[in-house]
Amino acid sequence: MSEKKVVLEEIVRIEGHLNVTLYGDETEIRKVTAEALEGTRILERVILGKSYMEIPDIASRMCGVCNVIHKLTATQAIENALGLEITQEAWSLRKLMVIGGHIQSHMLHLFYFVLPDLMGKPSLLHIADTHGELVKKIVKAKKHANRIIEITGGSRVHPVALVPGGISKPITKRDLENLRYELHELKKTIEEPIRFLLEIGNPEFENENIYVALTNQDTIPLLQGNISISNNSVYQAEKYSKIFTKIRENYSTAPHFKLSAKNVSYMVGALARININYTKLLPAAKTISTEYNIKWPNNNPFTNNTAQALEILHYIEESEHIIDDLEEKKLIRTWTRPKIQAGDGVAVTEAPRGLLIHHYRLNSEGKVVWANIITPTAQNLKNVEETCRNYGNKLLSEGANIELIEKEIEKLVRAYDPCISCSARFYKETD
Amino acid sequence: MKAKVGLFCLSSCEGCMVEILNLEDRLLDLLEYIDIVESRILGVHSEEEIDIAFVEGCVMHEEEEKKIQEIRERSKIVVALGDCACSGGKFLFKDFTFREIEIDLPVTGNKLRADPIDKYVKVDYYLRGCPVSNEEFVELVKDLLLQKIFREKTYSVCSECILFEKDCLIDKGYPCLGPITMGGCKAVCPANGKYCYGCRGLYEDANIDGLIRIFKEKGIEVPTYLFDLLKIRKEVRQHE
Repeated sequence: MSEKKVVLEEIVRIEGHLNVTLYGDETEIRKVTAEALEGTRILERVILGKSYMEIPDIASRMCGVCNVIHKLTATQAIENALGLEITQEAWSLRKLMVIGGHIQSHMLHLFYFVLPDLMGKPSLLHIADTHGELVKKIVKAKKHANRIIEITGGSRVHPVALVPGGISKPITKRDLENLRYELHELKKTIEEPIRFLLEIGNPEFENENIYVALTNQDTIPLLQGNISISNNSVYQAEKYSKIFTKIRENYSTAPHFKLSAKNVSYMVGALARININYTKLLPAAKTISTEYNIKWPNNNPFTNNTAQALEILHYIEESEHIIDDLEEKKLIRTWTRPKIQAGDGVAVTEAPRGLLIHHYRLNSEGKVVWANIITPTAQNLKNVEETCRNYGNKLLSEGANIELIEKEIEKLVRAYDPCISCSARFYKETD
Repeated sequence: MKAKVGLFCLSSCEGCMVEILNLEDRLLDLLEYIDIVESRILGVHSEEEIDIAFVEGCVMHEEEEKKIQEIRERSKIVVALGDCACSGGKFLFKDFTFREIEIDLPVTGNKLRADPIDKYVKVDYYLRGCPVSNEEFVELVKDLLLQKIFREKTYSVCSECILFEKDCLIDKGYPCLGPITMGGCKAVCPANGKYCYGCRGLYEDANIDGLIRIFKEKGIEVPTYLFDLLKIRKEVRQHE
């Protein structure tokens, strides 16, 4: 049998440029490579010598889809380096902003990228021909999610008001009322599209995996927490560099990662978050999860889509509680003036696609002297390769032909919700 | 006949594409008049001729250089979408200091560049900003369909900011570039308490020396991104 190579070029409906190559023959796929081809960001180099004030703006330009969480993580890391405490209200508003960002990103992935797959159509625009009302509901819901970012952050993409020290725009009682309205409308419109998605379900595939996500006492954490590895071991976020090993592959502009202790790949993202924190799902998400008989923890990588759908409901409910708390406050103070000092700051958060780490060192003038950023997609790439190989071999053993395998593997890659622009970040000095 | 529109991405954050998708229901309305025939993020692909091509992102390697030339050949109108395509993206790419760094990159090789697309092909219109304003996107599409002339804004961010009646950020000691930056963004940053960092480039009558003088008078450190803007203007002049 001859060794063959099949290249899936520029996978469509994901964020960024990614090729996936399968190596093997008619009986077995031996190796899969995930090749990020996006022009590299060299962000860690560009920000050297720049003032702390500029860093969040630059960091958010890593990715247009998950810009909110990038900007927030950079801001938090800077604040940690400066030893700056922000007000409780600013913290809550930022959480709302991030929730808006997550819902917006999940919706983009689930309905613009995945739904066409499930319905066998090339794009959401083609679905509109037959399911006009559904598409209208989807875009309406996404609009409300975007409004949440806009009210708390000033703009929808790269929220301008998110600055070290808090939020630079005042938040009024009127803003809170508007937020409540947007959430109410979002909740009303999103249910049908989510049920539509859950109704279709996922392909059957069991794949033992290791999951990494943040964890804490009582919620599914987004902005801070400890790093949990499949609920077996828990590490402090600051010790991230001991947990992960960076691997350089010469076919990819993005680095790949493995767990240092076991030298194996791992998965981050919505599925990892819920696998680790499923006991903390709020009622709305829990009810629908039971209704559709979804079991947790779950080892089917396609369930990442389901996990994102449940997260949307969970976040909406959580936001309502946050607004309840904010409304009880007499005065909403959103900003604290930073004091410049030298320091080292780490922030570990949950981006829509999984664990995100920003780490900066500032000198006494508040200028960056060292930086390190680890993105979720870079962490997932090795896992994507392994899972694709397993899935491909499963399909081969069931007698699938190569066209079907190509199509199915593309779906699996999409289920990981890869975001290549974030992950492409090589340059010599950080290796 | 609907106009055929292509949405293309080179190296960028795709925030401008996201901002266009953020038109939501208005995008569905626009689709009565345009057909999106090419867009990776939407998953539509064809080999057709294109009436209006929107190109996001800057050119960072040879593949992209070829791609932008192909786009130009098959399109009647090419629009540079967002700051990366217009000026190379002053945030990440057109940072002039990094060109001297020795690098060793997979795929792209060791030559690093971040070029605006008009270095390689003729560009008909520019939509500035990081991200673009989707209002301006609609404005341009409408103008093109009605065969009107789309003109770049000839006023500064300041003149839009004044309408919000907020305190001036320069008075508060922030290095705001509102007085020299091209308007059209509805002063989204300064109106929300965040100083302007000039993502839309300089407007034609920008008085840079005057602004630097004011910064010095008020004891504000002249920000590095102002010098980036200046260098871009210088490059443009040399180009002309």
